[in-house]
Amino acid sequence: MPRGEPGSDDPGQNGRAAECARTEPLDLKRVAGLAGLGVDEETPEDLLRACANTNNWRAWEHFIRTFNTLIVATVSRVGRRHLEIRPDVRDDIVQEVYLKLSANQARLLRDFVPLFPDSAFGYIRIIAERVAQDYFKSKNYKRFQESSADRLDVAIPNRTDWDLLIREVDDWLRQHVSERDRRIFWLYCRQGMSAKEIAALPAFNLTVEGVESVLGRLGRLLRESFRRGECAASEGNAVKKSFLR
Amino acid sequence: MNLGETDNDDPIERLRAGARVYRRPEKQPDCPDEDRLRMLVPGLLDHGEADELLSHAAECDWCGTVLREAVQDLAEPATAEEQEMAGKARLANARNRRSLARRLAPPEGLFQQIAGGLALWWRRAAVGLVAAAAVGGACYQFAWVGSTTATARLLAQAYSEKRSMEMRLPGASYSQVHVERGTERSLFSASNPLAEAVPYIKHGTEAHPDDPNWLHLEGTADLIAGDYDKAIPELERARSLRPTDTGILTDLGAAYFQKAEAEKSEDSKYYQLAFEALSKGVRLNNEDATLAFDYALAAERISVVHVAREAWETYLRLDSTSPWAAEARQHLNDLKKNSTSSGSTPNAQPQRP
Repeated sequence: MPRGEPGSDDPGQNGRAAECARTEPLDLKRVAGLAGLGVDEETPEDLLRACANTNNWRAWEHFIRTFNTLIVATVSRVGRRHLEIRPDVRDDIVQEVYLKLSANQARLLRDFVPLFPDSAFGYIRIIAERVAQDYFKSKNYKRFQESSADRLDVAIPNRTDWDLLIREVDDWLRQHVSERDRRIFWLYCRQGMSAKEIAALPAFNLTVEGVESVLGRLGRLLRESFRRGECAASEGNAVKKSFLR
Repeated sequence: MNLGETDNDDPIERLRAGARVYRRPEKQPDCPDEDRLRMLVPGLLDHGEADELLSHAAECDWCGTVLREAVQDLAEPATAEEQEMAGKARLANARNRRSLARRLAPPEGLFQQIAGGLALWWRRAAVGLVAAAAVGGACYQFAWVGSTTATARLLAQAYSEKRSMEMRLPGASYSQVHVERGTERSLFSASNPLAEAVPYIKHGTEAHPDDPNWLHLEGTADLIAGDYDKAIPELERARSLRPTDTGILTDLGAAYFQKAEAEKSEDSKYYQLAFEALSKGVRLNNEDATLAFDYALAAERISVVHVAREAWETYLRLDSTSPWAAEARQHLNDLKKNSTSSGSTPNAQPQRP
């Protein structure tokens, strides 16, 4: 269940949390009105509450209208990863998402606590992604995986060298850069995330250019340090030499 | 992108190339719940948890993959193509939408149950508002009731309202020690914030029995309540699930330390265990003032005088102005006096941070 964070350093996030705090507690009259009339000007968070706390099918109809495009998009993306693009399969999974949301008297919706305006959209997409992943897993779909040989235009180190280098680079990073920069480096270098993908994580609070700047700086520092042999463990030197040919 | 160089022998690119070939996404016992990782994408987690998850995902091939895919699936709004797809989907038809909506709305008979759930929501919201006001009256510091963050605050408040130990706990503000030797505080007769935290912890550990955050809070609550025999195994379990969490190590060190104090034996093995846990914490983060304080205290108790002196000096470099610093200074002065008069020598050579 998503939770609010009061001690955020991010002024934007804090502002949003404070704004949510101001909109509490639940305005029953407003929710009831929404459930009865399906009015469009209410917030998505109100809509979730309306579906969770009343038995009015009109609220659900309004919910489907509001969230369906996002749910379809999310399910489609997961489907593409499993090479499944048939519309009827996608529609079945989308329906599963709604059934999941309404199960146990809409427990998932009742558990939701808005952290900032429009956070309901992120929450619903997370549930849609999970339902889609579970669906493909239960049906034993194979995941599409980029071939290891694709897009490799550099020499691949042997496994032992790579393991050693990973350890040495991590030691160096722990000693010389902030934890935030270390995380960014490994998300890029090890997990294969692009600068754009890393910048999409609000926890870093960086633009794409900001992430690229961090990566560029780390790259320069790291190479410089290797060339100087500053952080060299004796057996690691050989590895680095092979990398730095 | 390339990190500043373009030739094919670039070490960073080779590191990435190696990752493409050798990464082995396999779920590990200490991997977090995948939904928590997904919640990083819309920013639905508090900073502390987000930092922990990112540190884990950066090094764990399984969680790194989950996170990367979550970003790809969730970060971008629907494309024009996807919008068109949604426009042709089954639920684009109003009749289908209505039919599904009628299935999703619970039947009338269940409404009372839902109203009951709503009343519970209201009660929790009310308790939360009271707690938030008590924590400091700072309304901008809004905490969601029952979350690990809000519960940790209650525990910190409980500690500060009636500080019963010399050791510091993470996040707790300063107060003077009130020693209650020989009387164990009951969770139910304890200060209000502690009693208030207990049901949240109980609910949290029942709902998430393997969540190190809740185990940590459970151990801390027992530590504050003076039940060290319960606190130690709980905190040890939290540590086994998250071995590099310095907050857990701090509280574990404090629990061992308090156990030793309760034994009233100068050579209690628990002082050594406290020192080991805190040493590990300091090695992981030597800029955490709470850890530094507790580490110095533990070093002092096991009579490693030169380590204790250095540790207090380090602490005072991190914090020279707070009321904690006054306590640290007092300890340091006492050590200096004793070492000049008795010339005590260390009886152990622990690994220095």
